[in-house]
Amino acid sequence: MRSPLSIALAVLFAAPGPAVAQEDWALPAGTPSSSAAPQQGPPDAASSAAPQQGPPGAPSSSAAPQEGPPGAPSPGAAPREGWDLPGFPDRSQQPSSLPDPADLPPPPLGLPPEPEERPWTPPPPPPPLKSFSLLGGRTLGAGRSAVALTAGFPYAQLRYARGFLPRLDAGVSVRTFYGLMTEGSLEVRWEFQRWGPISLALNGSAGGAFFLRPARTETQWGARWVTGRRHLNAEAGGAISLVPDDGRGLHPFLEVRYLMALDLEPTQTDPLGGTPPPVEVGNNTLFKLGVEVPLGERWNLLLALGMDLHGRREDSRVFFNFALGMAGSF
Amino acid sequence: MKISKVTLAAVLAVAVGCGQRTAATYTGSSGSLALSRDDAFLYAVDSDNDLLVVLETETDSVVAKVTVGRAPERVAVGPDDTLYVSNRGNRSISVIRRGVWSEHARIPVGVEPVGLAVSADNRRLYVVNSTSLTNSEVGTLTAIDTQTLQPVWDVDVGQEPRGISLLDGERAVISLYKRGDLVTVDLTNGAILQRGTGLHSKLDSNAPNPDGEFFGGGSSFFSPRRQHPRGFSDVVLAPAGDRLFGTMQFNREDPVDGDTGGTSYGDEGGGGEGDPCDRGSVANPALVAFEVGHSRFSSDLDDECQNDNDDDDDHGGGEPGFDAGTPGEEFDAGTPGEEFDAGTPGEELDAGTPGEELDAGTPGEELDAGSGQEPGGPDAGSGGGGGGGGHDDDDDGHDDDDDDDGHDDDDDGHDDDDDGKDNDDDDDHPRTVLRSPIPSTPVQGPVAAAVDPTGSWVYVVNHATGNVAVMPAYRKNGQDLDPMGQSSIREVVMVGKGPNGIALTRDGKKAYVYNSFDHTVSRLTRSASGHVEESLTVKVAEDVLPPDVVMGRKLFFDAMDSRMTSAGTGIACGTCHLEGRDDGHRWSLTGGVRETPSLAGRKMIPTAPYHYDGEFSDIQSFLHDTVEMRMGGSGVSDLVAAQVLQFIDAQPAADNPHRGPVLSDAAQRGAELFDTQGCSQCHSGELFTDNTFADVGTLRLEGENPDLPSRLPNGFNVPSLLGVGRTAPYLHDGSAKTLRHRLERDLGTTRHGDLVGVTPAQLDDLVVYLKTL
Repeated sequence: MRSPLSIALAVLFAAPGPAVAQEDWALPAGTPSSSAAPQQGPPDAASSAAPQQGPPGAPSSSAAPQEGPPGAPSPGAAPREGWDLPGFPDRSQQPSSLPDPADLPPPPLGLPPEPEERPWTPPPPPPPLKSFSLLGGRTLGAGRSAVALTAGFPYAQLRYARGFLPRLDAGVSVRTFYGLMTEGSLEVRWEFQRWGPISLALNGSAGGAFFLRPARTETQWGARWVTGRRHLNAEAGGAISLVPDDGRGLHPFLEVRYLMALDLEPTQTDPLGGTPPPVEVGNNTLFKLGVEVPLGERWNLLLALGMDLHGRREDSRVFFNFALGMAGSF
Repeated sequence: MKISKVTLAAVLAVAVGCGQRTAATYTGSSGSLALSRDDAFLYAVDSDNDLLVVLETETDSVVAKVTVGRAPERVAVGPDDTLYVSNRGNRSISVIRRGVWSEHARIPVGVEPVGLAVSADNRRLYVVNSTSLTNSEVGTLTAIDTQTLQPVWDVDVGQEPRGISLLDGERAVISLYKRGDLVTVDLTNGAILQRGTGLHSKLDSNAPNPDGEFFGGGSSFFSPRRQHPRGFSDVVLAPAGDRLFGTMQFNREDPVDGDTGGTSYGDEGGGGEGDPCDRGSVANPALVAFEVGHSRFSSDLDDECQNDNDDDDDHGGGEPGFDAGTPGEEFDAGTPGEEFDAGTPGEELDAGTPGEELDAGTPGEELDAGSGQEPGGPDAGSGGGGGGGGHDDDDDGHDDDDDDDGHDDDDDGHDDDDDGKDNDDDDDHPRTVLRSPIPSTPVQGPVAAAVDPTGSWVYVVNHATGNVAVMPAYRKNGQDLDPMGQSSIREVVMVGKGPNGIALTRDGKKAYVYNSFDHTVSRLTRSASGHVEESLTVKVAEDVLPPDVVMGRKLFFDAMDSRMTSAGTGIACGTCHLEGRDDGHRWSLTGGVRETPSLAGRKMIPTAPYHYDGEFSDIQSFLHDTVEMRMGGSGVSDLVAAQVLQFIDAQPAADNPHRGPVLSDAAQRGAELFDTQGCSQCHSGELFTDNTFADVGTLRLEGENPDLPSRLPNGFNVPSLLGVGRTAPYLHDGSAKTLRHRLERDLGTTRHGDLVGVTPAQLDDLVVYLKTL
């Protein structure tokens, strides 16, 4: 059964040729064609008695009236040199076994007969891309590893993760505020729910940071003020990702985390403000909105924007950040 | 659950272990105050009343008063809560046990003991004596066994030492009051590890050119600024043990007033308002940070003076060995922790004290070395010879100060630490010059400081302005500080008159300040509005001096009283006459270079005319010139003038080890020479002056800012010799480091007495006698 689209296409591209051609197809195979029927063909196609529309100078050996440019060879004239090729018997010498067109019944009116129906198949859809997601709520999958390098402000970060279970990743990360603060951490991600393209995950990390300058020397725009981080940092939160079924297209994600920063070097913020405890806790909330752009099965372009809300008075209240990088899977 | 507890314990252990460690020798107190180990008791020493006052901090009430020795100066608490009080007035240390509020023992020590420190293991008490028991020209550090209370060793450390801080179990640093630098001592054997820190070199980065010329002839605009650290009263260690803070002032060495006279010292800015570059007051309060354990000297002077350095270069300024025009470079030669540099010992003698020169003991060597410097301007201490070369016999106006040349005594002003670093990361300490963020409230006369237990804040007690400056200990800027970046002081808290001690509680919530003139303790706390305030004042003793003296003393040391000084000038009489004595500084004044004379024990009132030049025949004109014209005060009434003079003359002479009930044989011989050689003709009578004029060949007619003979047709006013043994340097321009040096100049002449035929041995006798006066 043919679809309306295919029919329409057939109508759109239908031409008189096919009917004649069908007659031609009735000829015995290998019979030289000298049909007087109108012919559409290449200029160098075999000569035809049918009125021919061809380029100027196109050869013609047909006895049929010919429309051609002035000077064209007259009908019945000897074949011109060049067409008198061996293997091509002189048309005048060939017995005419074809009926006179005038004796033929008129062609049927209406649609031309359909050509032999061929099976039409739309182009096959591309196979699903086995993309990956290092950020957000979609896990890598068991056995798959990925590494990402991002740079931005205030962090540059190198991250490695491996899927240990179908929905459980773990990895390590090193981030640096360009030397002013450098933190190494362990990370874990558990995709606990997947609804089609939507994935939800719980994630967390824990690590230790090293600061270039002592806390007592830092002030606004110092590493602590900018990052809200301290010597020991633990994060926990959730992420949601949208990963199309075919793995193609953008993988947007949103992540929200709580960051607990343990300050092992607390300072007295205000004179006579009291000696701080040996360990001071900072409570922070981190938001990250980003997108992974698959560039293939092995490469993703990463872009993330973040907003950190810092809980300690001596830190910046809000700090926005961004990162751009690449991730590779293997 | 067990795992959780173990994990938590481990985390906390790591946390505590990784936190800041407090040096065992750290103490949160300084000067006349200290707290018991548990902060339950506050101890204050009152010099006028010879008392140690014990306050209970919970109730802020006086619980005991312990009579100690004469003129107690400082107090320290040992690890076992034993108290030690330095009795400056009678050469002793009082020992008081906690809870037994009476003097347990009194330990005899050197002359005028001041600084105290107790080792972390409680085995040793270290006492800084202003002079030794045998030589008034050199101070000592005495180690005392705390069990037997007997001295273990005693070592000469330099002229007029005051403060002490123990760096660790094996080293101590001592501040030299007049010289304005540190000496490092090996506590295991009492050996001197290092003299100097390069501070002088750093301050002289704006020094004049090698010819010693000043540009501008007293005009401040083009004059390069030279500074000299003076009044290095105390040095304190930060809790982390990585930094020392020294309280002192920077006195200008270049001309401080205009050609026409009548220009106040502070016309370019006041004490606490100016800086040591090109805009500063005559004397700038300073808190200098010294790095410990690294070969680095830390100060931000270079940054502040950079523009001036450029100016110097424009004028061909700069001094050999100094790269004054290099942006950002820090001269970081020498630190307390640094070992001796090659060549230092010789320079030590040069930089050292008169006593050390005498110890070197080769007469003539100084002269030879000194003359070898002529006329080269700042000699940069390069003479370095054991005889104390490197000073120039006064003709160029340089290098004739008390005990040093003001340059590079132990270093060359460059990075001697061999670490190859520029050491230009100088953002991690407060600005060196204390500049009040409140124009109407200057700070002046820093005498004590303490760093809070977290190492975040340093509190500087300003004796002359009666306030405490609170500043971060490890940074110079911040959103909580002066937005213009001119001051590192976050708050200035007014307290009482004459504060000279501070103690911080270990909980970081309270500070106590002792106001010596008011005999009160101020308690500082944080107010609800978030500022440090004086929340309580406790009177612990009463005035025992005559009322006029009490008032006169307050005026003498007050840099806030508009009668005595202007807010822009912000200096007190005591800014130059430190402790009522002298600062050993040579001021380049109109008419020549003049060294600050000591006022203590001189009986000044009966010695008219006044000043070296004797230009003031009465006390009113003298006070008018000093107070109104120089200090910028509005003027004092006759009553106030009388009060000031009453105090001046009530000051006792400095204790003198050479003075005793009977003269020694050498002193006796010297006394006879004093009469026979004609010294007593001018230095006559009870005050050793006939109040006349004499030209003894000391006019300095060449070099920088020479004397004007037209102003001195008859020579100089004959000075009193009372207490002369502790007033080095000598002569009007401070060109003679020692008494012997002074006399050697005229040996074989009759210019200054009849010294023809006087032998070196006789000269020694004469010097011994003079020191007994």
